[in-house]
Amino acid sequence: MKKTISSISVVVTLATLFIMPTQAGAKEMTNEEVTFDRKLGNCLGCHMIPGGNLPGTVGPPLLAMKARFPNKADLREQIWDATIKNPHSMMPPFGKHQSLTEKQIDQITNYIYSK
Amino acid sequence: MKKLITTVASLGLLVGVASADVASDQKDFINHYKSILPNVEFADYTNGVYAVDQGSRDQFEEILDGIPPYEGAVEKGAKEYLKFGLNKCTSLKDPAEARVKHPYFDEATQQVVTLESAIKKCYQQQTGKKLGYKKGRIARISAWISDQAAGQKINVKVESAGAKAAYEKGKTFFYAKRGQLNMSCADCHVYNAGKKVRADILSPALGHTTHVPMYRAKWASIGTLHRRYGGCMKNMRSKPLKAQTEALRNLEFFHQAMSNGLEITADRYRK
Amino acid sequence: MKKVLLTTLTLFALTAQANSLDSSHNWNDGSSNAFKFAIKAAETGYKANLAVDMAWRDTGKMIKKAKKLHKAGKNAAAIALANKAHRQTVNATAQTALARTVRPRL
Repeated sequence: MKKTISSISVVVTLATLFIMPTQAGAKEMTNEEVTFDRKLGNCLGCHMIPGGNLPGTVGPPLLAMKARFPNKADLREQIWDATIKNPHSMMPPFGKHQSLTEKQIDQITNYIYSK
Repeated sequence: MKKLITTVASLGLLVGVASADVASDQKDFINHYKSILPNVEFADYTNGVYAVDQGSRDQFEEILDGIPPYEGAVEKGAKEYLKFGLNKCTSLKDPAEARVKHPYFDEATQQVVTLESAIKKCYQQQTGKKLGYKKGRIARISAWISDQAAGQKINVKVESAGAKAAYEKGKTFFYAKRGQLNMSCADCHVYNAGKKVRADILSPALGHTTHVPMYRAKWASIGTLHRRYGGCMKNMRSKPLKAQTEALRNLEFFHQAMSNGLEITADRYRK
Repeated sequence: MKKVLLTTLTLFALTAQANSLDSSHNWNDGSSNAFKFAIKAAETGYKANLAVDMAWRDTGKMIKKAKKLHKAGKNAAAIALANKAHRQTVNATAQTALARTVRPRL
């Protein structure tokens, strides 16, 4: 019974969510902006990235990414949850912990992958 | 079978935890810093990031050579210590001794007693009034008391079973990842100490407690160790615990013990 | 399989939702019951996280805001936010489990 109720509620939730139009924000942030913004990716906090000022030195420089990640999806996974590959990683699991949206993670992946 | 192995293994782990020894923990701790920062002398950890980066150290020394921004506050703390009769409490009547004695594990209450918790208790006894734990009066008084022990060494004793349990809780708190950013105290201040986050150098946890309460340029005022704990937790997007709650007192117990043997200093300026 | 599909769908929907939370309109087609389930789950999880000193910074605020949205009749947004808060508590609970066995790596 409980299960049925929760299934129904899930379905209803999903339905309402999909019915609601997703409105675009006031202005779209560029891939670089999402990557550099201190409250979003803040990748420079720990990584050197060509074109970014005052990078941190905690993580490796983000260079030659295509060589390091022949499969782009692996890079995305690393950003989504770095603790999959290394449970001790200090890198925040941006996707798993929902500090970034899936779209923002795509944007950062695209930006970093071009470096 | 698998279950049995897990059970046996976790039992073994528990026994290991219970018999953990502070001196050997600290040895591992110090050796770690030796390997990541081979040029920093043990005694210099009392100076935090200034032991790591010469440019920052020059600025630090310039500030200390002038009139340090906390000087007035510490002088005021001296007056307040007398004015509110804190010299009448056994725990604080010898200020230098008070700084070196705290934090300690109180067997009667089975709790860690920190310097600030002793100050607050004494203040309440003497004035009948409450006192905050993070900044203002308590930080000024605590800073003045700590100044009296400058040059003496941190010497936290973890002896009884109760004390060890509290220490272990503090240690677990220190190494556990928390908050939306999923970081532990150790992630920054042990494993990555000396590295930069943006332009800021991550300070080594070794020596952290030698100069508290501290004046932070960011605060533009003097604040206690637990004020800093709260700020750190908030930065990791974890809900900050209230100053002087049991978990943070246990954390301080572990944190201070890791600096055993380092000199307490009156140079309490930090960026 | 069904579970995976549902989770994926929910996640996808929530993500799509997240951007427009602040500017949502008054939707009356949401189910009040669904909100009750969602907010209950978030509150239960948050309480458990608080009890072990492992709560996240923004979960409480999210729960409060979700209730406000619900009161204002913005049910879909309220449910989405309550679910997001619940997700935070699930992740914090996972951290709590890992914290139990954490050892220094020196």
